[in-house]
Amino acid sequence: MKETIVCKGEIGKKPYRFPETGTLIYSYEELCYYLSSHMLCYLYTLPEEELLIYIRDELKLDKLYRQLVRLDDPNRDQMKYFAALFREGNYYSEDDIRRILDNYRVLKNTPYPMQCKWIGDMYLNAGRSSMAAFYYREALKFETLDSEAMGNVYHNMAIAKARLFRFEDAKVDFLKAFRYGGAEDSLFYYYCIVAMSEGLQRAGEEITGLKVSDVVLESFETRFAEIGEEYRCSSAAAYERRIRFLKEHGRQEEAGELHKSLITGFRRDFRKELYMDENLLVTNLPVHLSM
Amino acid sequence: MLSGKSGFSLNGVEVIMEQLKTRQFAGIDLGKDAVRMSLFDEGKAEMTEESFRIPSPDGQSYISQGLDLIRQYMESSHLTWGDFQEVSFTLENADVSARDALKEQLDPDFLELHGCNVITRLRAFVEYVFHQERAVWDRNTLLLDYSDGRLSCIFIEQIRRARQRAYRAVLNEVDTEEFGITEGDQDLDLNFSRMMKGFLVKHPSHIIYLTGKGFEGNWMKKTLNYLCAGRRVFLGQNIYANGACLSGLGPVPLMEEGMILMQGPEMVRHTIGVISQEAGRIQYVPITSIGKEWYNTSGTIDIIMDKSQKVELFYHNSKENEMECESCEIRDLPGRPPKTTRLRLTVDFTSSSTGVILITDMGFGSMFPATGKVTVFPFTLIS
Repeated sequence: MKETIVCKGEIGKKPYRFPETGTLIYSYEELCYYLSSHMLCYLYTLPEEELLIYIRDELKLDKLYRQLVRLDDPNRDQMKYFAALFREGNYYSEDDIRRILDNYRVLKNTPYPMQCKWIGDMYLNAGRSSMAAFYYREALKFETLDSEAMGNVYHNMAIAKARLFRFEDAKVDFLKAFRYGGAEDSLFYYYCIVAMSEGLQRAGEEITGLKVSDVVLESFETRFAEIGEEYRCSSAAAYERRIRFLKEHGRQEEAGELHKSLITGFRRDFRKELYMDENLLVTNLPVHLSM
Repeated sequence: MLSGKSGFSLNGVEVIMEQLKTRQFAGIDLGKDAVRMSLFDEGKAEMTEESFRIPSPDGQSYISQGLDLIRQYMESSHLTWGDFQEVSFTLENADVSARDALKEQLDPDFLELHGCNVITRLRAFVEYVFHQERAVWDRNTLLLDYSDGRLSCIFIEQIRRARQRAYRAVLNEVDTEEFGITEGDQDLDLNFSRMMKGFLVKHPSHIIYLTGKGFEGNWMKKTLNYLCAGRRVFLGQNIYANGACLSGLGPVPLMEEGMILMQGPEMVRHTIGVISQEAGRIQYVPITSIGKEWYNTSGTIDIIMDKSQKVELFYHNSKENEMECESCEIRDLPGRPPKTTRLRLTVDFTSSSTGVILITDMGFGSMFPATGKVTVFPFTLIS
């Protein structure tokens, strides 16, 4: 006999948006799932009061609302807040709740730079590159991370900066990532940025200057060529060809319009945060926390 | 005089008057010989009963004739359907064709306002009894319906006397021939009283309702003497209309909790549900309840699917207290992590023992969007 998880409360008519990631939830179960996988966001704070109002008004979980209001004080034991929230329904079993809270305890006891690195990763995955870059800088501030972890932080920070179109900064960070972690991937992305901005020859010279074997350089060239090939088959490349064609035939205005929409597409892909709710850019700014 | 300038508007007064109005409900019992209408004013807690004999049962159907009489009454009393919160019907024979015929005869405006809410006479009586004060339903109750030489009875019996009481309402035909009961016969009273003696031993009741044109006339002497000994007996023709009318007030708690099992044609005996865990304890969560006609029974529940891609459904036979289980496999859903698929289970009956369960993929918010895919799972209740 299999037990079924019966949903609790109602489905909200409008969603609740988590300001950190822009994720939308509509039900108690989605709330539990989101919170359990984003406990990192709540190491020093608790979810916003608006969430409690959402629980009361949209999910119609009045009892849970009253319970959480009493526990909504970051100076009190935050575990109690989450335990009360997860225990309200049947979404998580008692074992699941214990495991989530144990993980939360582990996260809380993790050194601050590592916490910052993980928070940065979470923001990067959520498409919030500037917030991610901020947390990576925080992680690097204390210089307590080991060499491999430093390499990872620099690598991810470089990705965040590249997504913000700060290619010069990204280049520097990819190089640092390679120096600390020795990951070939970091070096390859460095090669890609140089290749795109200064040409393939210059990129090759840069890599040779770093005393990397010819085999590695050859593999980079192949990988880069493959990426180029993939791009040539993409819709963006088709757009580009169309723009070129229009320009060649004197249809500057049309070409300009197409160029504008191509750039908008790139911005949407790389800087999701610009297209998220306006509140996302102004709320929940990180505060400087002492170790 | 109220005007916009004085700060009041006529419109505002109308709104207040509307709010002060108490809810009114109507119940209509369409019989082949007569149509009965009961109106209930919630504020006054007052029931008004009307009865109209159907002139000629031939030709035009009794449903259409009955509705015409009701329309005439409404017109003469300056009543409109909009005055009522809910209007429910009972029919002498509430089968599909009769229900369809009724729906066809109702005006589109009426259907838009109230729909076509038909309940069986069995349920109407049960609704009537359980909407009365506790003393009425705290013990066994019996209804005898004697019409056209046929005697039927509805016996509401308390089957569990624990704190959470449970009841069973059974509709039966009584064989009158065995006792030589014939309408209009000079020994009718004697034979009927003899039959009742034996009948009440098997069906001990404290309150008895008598209805049907067979009880009209002044033939009951011995029968009434016997029936009234230590019991309360009521005679009336509007009992089904009253019950239909009171059903509009909403289900009584006992009915909502599935504590009243109704055994009769068209009634649902099974609940359909799932097994869940609440505060560490395994429990059965019903999606549908008993105590209603199959065409008035449906239910919806949202569940979360784990990694097994299977939904286990349980059918509980309330009469026999037996449980059956069936599994339904959900196919072709996009790959999602465990516990990130919300399924909506909608149960509808197509007869008292068959039906269909629609299982709709609701996704999981913006994290795992819904496909809206519907799995159709027909069921047949065997036990």
